Amino acid sequence: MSHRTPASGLPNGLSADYWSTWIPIRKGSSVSESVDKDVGEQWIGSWDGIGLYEGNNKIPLYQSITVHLTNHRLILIPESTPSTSSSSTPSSLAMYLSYVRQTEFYAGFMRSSAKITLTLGQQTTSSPIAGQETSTSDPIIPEVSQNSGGWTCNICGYVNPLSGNRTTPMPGSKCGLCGIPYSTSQSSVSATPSRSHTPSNSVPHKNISSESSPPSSQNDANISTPNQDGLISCPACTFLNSPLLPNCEICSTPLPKSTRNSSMGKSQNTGLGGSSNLVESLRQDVVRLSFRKGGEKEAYKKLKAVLSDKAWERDIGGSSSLTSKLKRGTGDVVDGVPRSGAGIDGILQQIDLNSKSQSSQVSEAFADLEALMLRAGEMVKLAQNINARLTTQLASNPAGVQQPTEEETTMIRSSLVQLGLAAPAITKEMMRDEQRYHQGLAKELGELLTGRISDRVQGGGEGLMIGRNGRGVIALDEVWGLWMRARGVSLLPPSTLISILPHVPTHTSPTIKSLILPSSLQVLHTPHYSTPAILSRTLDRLCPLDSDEVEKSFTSLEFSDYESLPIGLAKEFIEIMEKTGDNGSGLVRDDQSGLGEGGVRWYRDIISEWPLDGV
Amino acid sequence: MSINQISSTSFTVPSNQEISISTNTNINDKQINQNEFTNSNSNSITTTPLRSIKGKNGFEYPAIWNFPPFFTLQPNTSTLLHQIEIWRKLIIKYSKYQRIFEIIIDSNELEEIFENKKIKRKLLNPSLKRILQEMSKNGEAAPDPPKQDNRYLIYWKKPDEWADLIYNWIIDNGLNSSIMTFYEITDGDLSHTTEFYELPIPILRKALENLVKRGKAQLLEGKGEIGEGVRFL
Repeated sequence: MSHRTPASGLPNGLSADYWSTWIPIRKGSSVSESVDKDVGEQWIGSWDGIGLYEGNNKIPLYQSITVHLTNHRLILIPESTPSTSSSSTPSSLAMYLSYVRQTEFYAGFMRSSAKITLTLGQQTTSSPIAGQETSTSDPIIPEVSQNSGGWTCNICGYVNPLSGNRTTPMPGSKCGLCGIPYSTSQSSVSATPSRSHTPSNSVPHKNISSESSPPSSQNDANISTPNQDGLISCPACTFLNSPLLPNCEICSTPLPKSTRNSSMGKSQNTGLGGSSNLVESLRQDVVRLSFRKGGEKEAYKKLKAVLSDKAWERDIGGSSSLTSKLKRGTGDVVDGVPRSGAGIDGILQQIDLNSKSQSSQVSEAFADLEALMLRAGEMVKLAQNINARLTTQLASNPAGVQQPTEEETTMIRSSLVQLGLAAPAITKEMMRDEQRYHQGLAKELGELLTGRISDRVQGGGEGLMIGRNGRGVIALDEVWGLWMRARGVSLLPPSTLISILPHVPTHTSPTIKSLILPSSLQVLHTPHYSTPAILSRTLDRLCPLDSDEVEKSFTSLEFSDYESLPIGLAKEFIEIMEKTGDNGSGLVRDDQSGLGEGGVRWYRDIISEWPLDGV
Repeated sequence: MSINQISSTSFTVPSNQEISISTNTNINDKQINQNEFTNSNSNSITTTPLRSIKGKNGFEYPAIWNFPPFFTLQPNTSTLLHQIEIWRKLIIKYSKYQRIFEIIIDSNELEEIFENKKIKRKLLNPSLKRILQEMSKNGEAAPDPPKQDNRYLIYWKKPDEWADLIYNWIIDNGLNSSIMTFYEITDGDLSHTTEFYELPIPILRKALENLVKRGKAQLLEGKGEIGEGVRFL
């Protein structure tokens, strides 16, 4: 998709000087038909009762037209009135908004209607048709060079000089003052504020082709020409500078380029010499729309919005627009909307962009987690399903049907146990009353601790507390944690665990009992670790041999080693033995044992039974 | 003893096999162990390898004096009571042997009884205080002066026993109805063979007060350097 070359066959009454960028539209075609949706063109609004001017001149045929605005084009359709025959109705016109260099709004005064002034010109290098246009008479408006021979930094406002004969800054060139890269977003529309909008400024040239060079009447302040002495007047302080100077001698304001300089640049650019071409290249089409029936404010607002949006740049998708976007850097293009990428605004945009990407990453991560949760649920269901099948297969047990061997069954079951519970977790709803519920829970916990009853009969029970990796003593909080991990679903409060403890011994083999240690820590233990069993083992260990000359003793560290208990639990058990031991059956302590001997040492109690008459 | 050793070795290293033994065998083991334990318990004193030793001063310290936990007051109440009782007896016996009438807790020189240099254990001051408090409850010691816990008189004979001893000595020597100063009783020429030789004045006073109560003596206030006197009736 590219712009159609403006046709030369203009309707009657229109001067080619002003309408070079306009295309006639076939009569009778509706606006909606002409809107090219393929390139994302959208109809935005229309206003009627509008008069058309070439420069300051009214065009009689186009004094009652309807203006349609799309995000790509401006379309003028003359209203067919009964008084005018269809043949005399002037043809419609359309213009790509990319040609709009400048807009101006005039609110109207007394009998003068509100007007919108459009300064039109061919796109420069960024125009997709620029390459085809070199041979036409249409001017290439060197927008940047017009702009007083430099480019203005967005951030600090410093006017950077251009190197050599370039009309645009080098790609990637940076501001000499603040180092911010040149941004093309200051081109065309955004460049308008830097221009001075005075009525005289926009007065169009008349009979430009016949104008001689150098033009004596200076209409455009930006295009400065040397005066008689070849000096250039500074636009800021009016000091007459030598044309060789790039900046004003007095105020350092960049000087507009003299026509001689720009003519050299221009002739090289277009490949056409001659001063007449030069003048033509500087010419601008100024067209006015006079809003006689109101709506001018809305129209101007929308026009501005469309111009700043530049939908044609991204929708046309030409390589030039793409590269221009790339030049601006990724930070400036958010959702395809080019923005100025500098200053506070740029920083805010950057922050906004970062937070957006972060939130999207977070939501992605959580989406993954949720998916994992769903999969986990499926795994649990699968495990339960396998277990149920195993059970039914074992129960039915038809002869002749190949059975999984006991070993296989055990293997499957044990791997299920490792995954979680072999049987689905018991919940309150499954039981009729509190008592049964607690019994059921105790059974479940018992299986977790000492293995399944069926396995126990075979003598190979494996659980948390017996078997290869069984631990004789487990603190209640750990029991709760392991149990809840095994249940996976419908977790129970720790209070429930405490309330079912009295039922646990009946559902475990060997009997698992609970014990409250002196620190009020509650543990579950196997018979091997019951207090009397530990005490008798310990006292046997302390019983002196014939060869001994002193009483045997141990530290708590040694004790924890003997009994394969964690040091904390070992200390607690020693304390129990010290406190509960009665009539010389307990332990006595020796506080004065040095640290080199391992701290407090423990002896069998020979004090309690020591005969007083033996003293 | 041999059975004991075997079972102890089998339990010092509890193997996994033992744990997985069915409940019955476990219970059996336990019962056996307990039986053995009660056996060993009943003759624990005879089986202790600790032996009594004689000190430099010739005092024979009991075997338990070589038992390190004996120097740590035990938290178990029943054990502690017995431990304190042993200490009380030991202190009385030692004080009598060494003719110690007074114990000062914070003094730099501890009596030999309170420190076993061989096993590097000593009865720490708080423990000693506790034991002396128990002794004063039983009339075996008394804080002197009262209402402090640093200086204790040790009554290896109680004041009334001293009183009896002194009175009998007075009668035996025909000194009744005569007036004697405190010094003459404890340090006089006649008393240097008696048990109450060099008896501290506070204990003597308590003994004499005891006699006064029984109506067998009369205390006389001393004048000047003569000091206090007593008339036995």
